[in-house]
Amino acid sequence: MKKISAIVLVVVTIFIYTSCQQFFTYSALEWAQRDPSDLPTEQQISYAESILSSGDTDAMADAYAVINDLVTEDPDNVELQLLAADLAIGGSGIADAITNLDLDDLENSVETILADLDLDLVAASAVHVEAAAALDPDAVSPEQYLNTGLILLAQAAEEAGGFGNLNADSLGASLKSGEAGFATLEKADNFINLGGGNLSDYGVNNANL
Amino acid sequence: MKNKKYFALLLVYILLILIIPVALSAADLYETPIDIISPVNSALGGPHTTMNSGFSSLMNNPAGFYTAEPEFSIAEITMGLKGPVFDIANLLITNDMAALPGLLQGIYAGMDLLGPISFGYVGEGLGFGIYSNSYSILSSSGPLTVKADIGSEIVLTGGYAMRIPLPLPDVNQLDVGMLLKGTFKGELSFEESALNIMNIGLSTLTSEPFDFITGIGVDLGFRYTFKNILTFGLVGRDLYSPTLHNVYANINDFSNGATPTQTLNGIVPFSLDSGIMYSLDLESKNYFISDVDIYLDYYDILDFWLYPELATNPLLHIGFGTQISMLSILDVRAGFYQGLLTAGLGLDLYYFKMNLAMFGTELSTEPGLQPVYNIQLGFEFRI
Repeated sequence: MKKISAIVLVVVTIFIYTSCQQFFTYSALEWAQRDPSDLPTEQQISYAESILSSGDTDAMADAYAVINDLVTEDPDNVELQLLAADLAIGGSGIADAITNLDLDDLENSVETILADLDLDLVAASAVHVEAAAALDPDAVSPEQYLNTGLILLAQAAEEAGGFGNLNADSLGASLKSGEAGFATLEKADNFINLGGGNLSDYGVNNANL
Repeated sequence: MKNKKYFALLLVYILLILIIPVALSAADLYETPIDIISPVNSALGGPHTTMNSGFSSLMNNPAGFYTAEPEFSIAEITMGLKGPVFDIANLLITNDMAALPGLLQGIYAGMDLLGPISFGYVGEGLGFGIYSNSYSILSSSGPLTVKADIGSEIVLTGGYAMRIPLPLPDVNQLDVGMLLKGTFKGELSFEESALNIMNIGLSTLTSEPFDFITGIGVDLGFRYTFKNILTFGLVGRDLYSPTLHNVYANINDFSNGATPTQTLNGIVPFSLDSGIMYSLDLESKNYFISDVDIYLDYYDILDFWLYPELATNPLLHIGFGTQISMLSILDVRAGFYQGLLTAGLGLDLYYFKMNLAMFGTELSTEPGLQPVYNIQLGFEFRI
């Protein structure tokens, strides 16, 4: 009897908690959101930082446009470069794509991810991380190197015509220098190493790297 | 003689305000203000500057110590949950790892625990308290990156309030108060790629940098009551609250007394809060409802000017709440803060008080962009 009461209590608690969640997270002031492009510079940055942690892909893409304008005005600002890189990665849709990753059918799933990604933003994120690393290599976190490396890996797969083409073919020949995707794969390898990882951890073993 | 005392107090206030720009420019980083979780404040839409309902509102306005009903706090256990903590618990129980990346996208979840140390007194112009406070937060710090903050702190506070004589003392009552506070906080923070989150273990925690923060601060408040019906409050929080932030290579280095790898000077941003309260005493006319209090506050009035990089949408600063006391044992509370609804209740069960609050908080700088659901439950042992 005690056990049943405890279970009922837990179920009721979870039910009350989840049913209230929508009620208490409905914002009556949503209409008062300001256009980030009209805010002073300091507030544009804090707005972008808060968007970064929200996980909202479209909002991150919009915020990237605002921060990219600031980067253009001040390209030697490492913090702005890294903020732009993170917004570009987030805005590219990578988090949504990974959420929908099917672990049982990885190869087809990766192809679907590539089709959904905004590759221009992917490329832009790598450019920003590279710029920041050139200004101050220590300012770039291992996570930023790793995340950018993984996105470049996806880009390399797209350029090479598929994830499987990055590895050795049936005759044992790996993708080599000068072939489509190799330069991006080299860059991905470098970034993943700086992030404390290894290409082989992600199923890529290329003898020419 | 009395005028000299008030003049000296005014001089201290002006001096502290003049210090703020200098202090802000000398600091390496902004620290988060001391936050003593309170289901009463949370259910009413924030720490209202006009509230003086005992030990729970010790940090609201030091001027309230003068008129607060004497209350002695022995202990308290208050727990707060924020974000989708049940979803995380469910995921861990069912081991459904495929759902993990979706859950971690834009996540903000955590747990707070105030107590069991919550010892102190409020009343007769005096207020002091000692608290123990622990917290853990898991938040998305960027795409594919999550951050964990685990910390614990001891907070010491003490203050004094006095009455400034005004003409017609039955109609006009002006109180002024000052609160000093100190904190000792240990915090472990680390970031991890969401793709590697399952590889976190005890060794990760013991190898990450450990921050030890000591800080002091001062609040100054005014509280004016007109005919015991209307009350105005003004509080300068953290008028000058510097911190010393020591970073150690790991928690073992800290416990072994090693030299910190980095020492930073922090500052808690100054916040000027103001509010109004309308009180209705129905005890003699209504047997069911004894009191009705309506609060309206505007928090952090000067953020856009003093530290624009932390400023948020002006409408997020509004806090509104109402409390209806019934049969002298039940308080029903509702309000809104940061554009999100708040609600709660309090039960006086003679040996202890139970308070419950459910509310939303806005994490973004704009309304509705990243609202988070919170629930707090507290058991207070007070006499």
